[in-house]
Amino acid sequence: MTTASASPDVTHPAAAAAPGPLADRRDPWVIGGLVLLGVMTVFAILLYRASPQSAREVGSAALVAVAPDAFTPRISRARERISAAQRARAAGDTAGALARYAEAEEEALTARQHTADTTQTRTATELWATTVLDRAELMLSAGARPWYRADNNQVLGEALAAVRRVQTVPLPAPTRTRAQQLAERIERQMRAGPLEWLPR
Amino acid sequence: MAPALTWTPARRAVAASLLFLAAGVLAGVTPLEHGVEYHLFGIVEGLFALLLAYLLVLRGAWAAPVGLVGWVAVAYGTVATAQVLEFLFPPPGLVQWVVVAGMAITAWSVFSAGTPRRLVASLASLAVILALVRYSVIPVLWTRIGPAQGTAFGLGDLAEGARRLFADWQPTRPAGELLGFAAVCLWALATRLVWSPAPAPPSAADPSA
Repeated sequence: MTTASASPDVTHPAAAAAPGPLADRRDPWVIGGLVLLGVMTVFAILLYRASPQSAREVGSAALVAVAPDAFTPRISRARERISAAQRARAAGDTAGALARYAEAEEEALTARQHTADTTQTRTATELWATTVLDRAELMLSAGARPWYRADNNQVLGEALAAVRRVQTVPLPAPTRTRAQQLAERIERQMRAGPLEWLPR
Repeated sequence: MAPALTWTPARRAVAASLLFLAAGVLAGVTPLEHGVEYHLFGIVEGLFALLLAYLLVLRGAWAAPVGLVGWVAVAYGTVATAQVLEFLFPPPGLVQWVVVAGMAITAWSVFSAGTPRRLVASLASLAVILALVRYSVIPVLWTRIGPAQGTAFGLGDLAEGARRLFADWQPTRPAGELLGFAAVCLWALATRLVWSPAPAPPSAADPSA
């Protein structure tokens, strides 16, 4: 960065003997450093763009980036997103939890498209269905109001549609039962006023 | 025996660029109570960083860029300075307007005179004052001014509005201040690496001296 001096100045490091711009371009340390700088810059941009909330999230995102078409990284990423949603839910951040659940659903669906056998298909489907039901349950609690106040029917309608989507795919009996019960709860909540207490 | 690694100016510039990059990345990471935010500098910090970079090169605290590697170091240094300012400046609001306007008006007279060492010392003092305002004064006042939001039959909401007008502040975890401190240390280390050499003392035989 500075011009070469005849005698290197030990007190001022930049005054050390400079070999000149042409020699700098051939210096392996400079070339290696510039390559490292480029890689680290790209990594920093990706980090800020992804905005991970934990070190675990960084790991799962990196795995998906390395092998975007593989089943295992996608499933790991979906599970990590579910953990993040549960953390957000426990912290009272409903909007954040819904967003994380939606991301987990997407990852589980992508994993389902890259399965190699029926076991993997069943695992991905089960994870997807559980995530959708968790999200619908959260939407139900977010959209439900006391009987004397109007419910947020738009949110409840979206929750019911999500549960209906789950009911269209083949699932194990416990998940199917859970979906059925949740759909009934949502339908009952959508009734007007105190009618939500009455059995069908 | 392998020869000792010589720190040529180009190598120093590349090492400084890496340190500036690390400082910029760390300065923007803000751990909040729930989750982590990644802050990128805005126009205020960017313009101020440009002014500071110009002054640092002008006064010789950063060596004048020569060649591509030199310019890379200055570019990364400017971005890192903007990110550190993002960490240090008060949050948007009346407090930030007063602080930044005061700094911008006095910047030339405060920073443009004296030696590079004095310039860096002035910057260090400025950093201490900014950190005091952002991480001590604002949080203390925030908890003292008026009732909390959603309390006192609507008065809390009014008080919250007034507080946001002064400073749109969000509480952070102590780890955030630690990360910012690490970022400032990296910035200082990188500045030391690209420190401009002192001019040679005038010799007795030099008639112009």
